[in-house]
Amino acid sequence: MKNEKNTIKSPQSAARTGAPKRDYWDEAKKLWYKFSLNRMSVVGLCIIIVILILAIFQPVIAPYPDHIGAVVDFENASKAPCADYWMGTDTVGRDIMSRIFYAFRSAFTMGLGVLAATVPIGSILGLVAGYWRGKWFSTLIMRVTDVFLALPPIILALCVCAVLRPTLLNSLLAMCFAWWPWYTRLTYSMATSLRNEMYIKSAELLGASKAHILFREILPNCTGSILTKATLDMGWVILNGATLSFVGLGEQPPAPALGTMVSDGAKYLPTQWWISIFPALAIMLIVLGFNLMGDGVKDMLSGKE
Amino acid sequence: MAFKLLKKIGVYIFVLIGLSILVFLIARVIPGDPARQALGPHASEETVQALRERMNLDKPLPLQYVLWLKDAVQLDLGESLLTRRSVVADIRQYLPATLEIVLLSSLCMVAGGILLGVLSAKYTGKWLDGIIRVLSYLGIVSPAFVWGVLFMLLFGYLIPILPTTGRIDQSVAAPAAITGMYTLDFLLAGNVAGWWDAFRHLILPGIALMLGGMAQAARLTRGNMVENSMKDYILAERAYGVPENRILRKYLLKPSLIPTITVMAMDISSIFGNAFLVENLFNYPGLSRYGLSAMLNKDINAISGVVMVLGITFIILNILSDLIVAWLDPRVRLMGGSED
Repeated sequence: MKNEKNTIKSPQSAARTGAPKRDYWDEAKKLWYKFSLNRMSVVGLCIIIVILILAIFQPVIAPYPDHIGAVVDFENASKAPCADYWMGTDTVGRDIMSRIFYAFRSAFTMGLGVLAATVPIGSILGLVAGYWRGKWFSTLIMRVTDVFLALPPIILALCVCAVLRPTLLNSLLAMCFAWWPWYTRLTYSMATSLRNEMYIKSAELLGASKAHILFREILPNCTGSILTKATLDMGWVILNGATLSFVGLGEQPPAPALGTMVSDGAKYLPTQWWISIFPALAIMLIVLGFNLMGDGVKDMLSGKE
Repeated sequence: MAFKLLKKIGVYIFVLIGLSILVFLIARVIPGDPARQALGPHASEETVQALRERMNLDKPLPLQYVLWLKDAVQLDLGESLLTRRSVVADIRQYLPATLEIVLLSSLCMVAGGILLGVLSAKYTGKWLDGIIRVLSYLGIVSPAFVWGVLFMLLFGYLIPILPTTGRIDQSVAAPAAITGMYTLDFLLAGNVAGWWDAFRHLILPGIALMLGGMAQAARLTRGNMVENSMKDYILAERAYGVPENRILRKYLLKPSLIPTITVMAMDISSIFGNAFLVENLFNYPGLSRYGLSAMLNKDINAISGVVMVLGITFIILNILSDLIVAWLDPRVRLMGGSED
């Protein structure tokens, strides 16, 4: 058995060592060229980079970095946007801009955390279910996926959030709970069509291990779609996270969260519009950035020249 | 085709059962004691124990599920711990309001989205196309509650022409409940002034709900039409000299609508999802606001009831969209479609 495997692996590894060394720099340049063909996606990337910088260097960049906590400054409360406070202050005198910069952090934590958990789990389940389509566990996985997909993710996340204590981590968990089936369905449909390709058949005939077929043959052909979806989903996950904090089930005050800031500000709407409008714009900006970027990533990985 | 449909309905029934298990499990893992939560800290241990027994919380989990399901199919979802009324009565009261607003905004979404998409595709590259594309990007990236806040600011306060809270004005008496949808009930009662008032209350939350879906539908329709218009059969029609408008209506629109309709069912379900926030924001007494307050107060009977009702609604929506796609797509209609 071991011998067999060796003879099978050898032509491949020979081919691999015989091939010229991959020039990663060159490949990256080509990818960037394809990405940058769509100018709007470069704009999206810039938006995201700026937001990331603001979030990471909030203590340095923000004019009032300590206003993220339970700070009270009644002398400057409810100030309209002015030279000292570019986006105004809230009802207890905290600088809105500094708080938004900090809230970007939890927004990104949310996005990255949810995707880091759901993309691998969802994709692997989808690969397994797609490759062994027709087997009982494949049916089981897909039927469970159907059940989860029957409800909009936000309702599912709200339900889970409702029964847990409201913290950033718990809302992140709730989002994961609601988000994985999308990746399962995506990779499932790709794997079911890919498994009939000739190169998969030949790998099977050569006796390649299932893990090799799943992760080295099928998965690389799905990464483009998965990455594209993940880029777009960063925006959606952040938006849904903001929705959770909007109803008070996300990160708790005094820590700033974009959704919480919008809902708090909505109470003072007619007169003190800046309290809720700027965080709302911030949410739109993040989602816009990832959406624009997603189009570029799609062009970059779709394989079209 | 009929067999396919039956098989699909079978899958949906499975989904429904799965959903009931999921909802049941979510509602039962609440940390803390729902009975104690409902009665408050001052209730005596005996009353809490009595409620626990009445809610079957003292029995093993699988048995609890069977008992819950048995009651649920008999339309008994228990008592809301918050309103102290039967959950079914609550749902019956609040569901029509939500259906009313979701139906209205779904209709506008479908009509508006397809219209904008067709216009955009017809004038590809022209200024109208540009405007529609920018607007649809804005629509997609802004959450419904942001639109809600913006609309409240714009039309509620700056240019106060539309009401921003509730279903009808306080000076207007509610109509006799026939369907529970105020606009319909007013019409049935022949009360035009009342209808106008109820309709005005629907406008802002309705638009806030539909903008995202409409933008998505417009983008998708445009993309598909532009893609399809490059296809050979359209070129052939053009070469035959078939009028452009006829090509658009007869040959281009139908195949381009199929992906839009498939996504539409999902968009309508996301309208239901967004309703959770928008109804709350506009103080609109619908099922979603009821559901949200149940969630915030850990009212497990109400949560399971609301989520089950929504799940059933989505399944009906999916069956409808399957039927519409089958009607639009001869490949599905005549041959039963592809395997998936």
